[in-house]
Amino acid sequence: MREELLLNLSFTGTVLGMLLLFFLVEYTDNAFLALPLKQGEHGILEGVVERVHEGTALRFTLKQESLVTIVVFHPLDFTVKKGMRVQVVGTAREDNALIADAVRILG
Amino acid sequence: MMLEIIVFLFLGVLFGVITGITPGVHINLVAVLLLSLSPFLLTYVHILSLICFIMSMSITHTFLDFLPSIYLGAPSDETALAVLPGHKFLLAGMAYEAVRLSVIGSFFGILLTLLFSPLLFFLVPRVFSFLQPFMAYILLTILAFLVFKSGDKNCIFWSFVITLIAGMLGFLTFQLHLSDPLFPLFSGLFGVSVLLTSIFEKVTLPKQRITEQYPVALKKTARASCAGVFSGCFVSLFPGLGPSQAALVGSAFVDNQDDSYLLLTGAIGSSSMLFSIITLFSIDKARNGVIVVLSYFVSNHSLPLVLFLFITAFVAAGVSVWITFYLAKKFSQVINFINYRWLCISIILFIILLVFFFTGWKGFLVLCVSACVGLLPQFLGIGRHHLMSCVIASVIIYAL
Repeated sequence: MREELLLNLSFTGTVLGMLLLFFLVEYTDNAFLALPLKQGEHGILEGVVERVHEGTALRFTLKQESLVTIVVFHPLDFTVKKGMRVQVVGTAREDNALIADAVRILG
Repeated sequence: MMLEIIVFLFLGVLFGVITGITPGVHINLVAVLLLSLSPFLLTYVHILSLICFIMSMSITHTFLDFLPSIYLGAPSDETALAVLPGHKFLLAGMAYEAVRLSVIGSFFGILLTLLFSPLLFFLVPRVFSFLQPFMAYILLTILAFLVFKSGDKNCIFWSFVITLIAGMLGFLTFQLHLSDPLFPLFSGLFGVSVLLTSIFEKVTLPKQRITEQYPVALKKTARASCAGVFSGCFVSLFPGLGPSQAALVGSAFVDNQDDSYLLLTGAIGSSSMLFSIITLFSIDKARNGVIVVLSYFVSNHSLPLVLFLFITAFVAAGVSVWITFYLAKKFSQVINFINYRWLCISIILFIILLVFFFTGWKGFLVLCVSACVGLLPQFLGIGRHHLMSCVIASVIIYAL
């Protein structure tokens, strides 16, 4: 096998890989999220807000047992901001999201 | 988010290059640092970016760590057995050829592991659950096999002694409850000891040529890569076994030529790293330090996440091929101008500093003792892979 052939092969692979990565990240975003509660289970989670989605949902990083990101659905007021530490009480949904009864700001 | 992921992918490649070409600096160290910094980092970046960073760094490292092994004679535990053929090429002024063969092996190792991954995901839980009750006995048999395969009666005796000493050293090190016991242990056994040997052996290197004299046939590449993937995956099922042992298993399936051996060791390095992802997701076992760190970030074992990791690995492998060829050409040009002795001394001092920082004086003690033990195989003329009993012995004791 010539070096040039391997370089061409790896270059093509890199470009194709980047395209696949783009489609995977952009179109299956929620599939990467994980919730440490079983479907239908009720619980309290605590973590730092990563992103706020137009006052209807927030994504936050949980730091209790492992570092995971989950999406919380709850009508939010505008006081919840990125970087805040929050406590969420809610029920786990099928798609790894959490339907919250309450979101409490800790700091 | 895609831009952030691409940035972290290339940052991972950059760190993989640094850990790959710096003897004694392992990806586990960077991964542990990343884990300790993650509460701060996660305030600013997405968790997928950190996962992407770890994956691309690990794969790049498996390509680049052949450079110090071949050019400086400073192997990591993964490349320990590739040093001898690589050194032969170096002394013939053909180190670039050795790197080229290793890179071909590594790239095909990645491709074949990705190709076989659906089958591996199916087989691994079944094979593992079948073998798990006999794990300690299988590991004992492997240790005995390695000792008896080492050569004549004299070699067998000394291999047995080294296996015993390294096993005791590993067991005692784990009793010290250090924050990262493997760091001073492996740095001493496989890093500092080799660097010390290089300092005291005054080798004159011939002028290095950039050639393509070994036209590697596709059939030969496929055979060596398949053997590498098979052996790399097989030993990754067992705790404590690594690429060095996989090379011994895999060498039974390829011809006895140096170029085949370099293709084989290349395939083993990259495939065992990728296979560690399969063991993590299928049997929940992290088989090396960097995968342990990755397991803290990954709590859902979903198909998109596996695909994300595999594609990241593939992209990192593609980029690494280019970087490795580029750096190998540069290494070939500058190797004769570097004061190798001072380079080794500065790396040893850097490792001592890191060991003190992460594990304190107890870790430093472990580093000194393990460096002395690491010198023994060289003096006794036996394989360095017997030193891996430092982990295997403890696993056997805990499993029995």
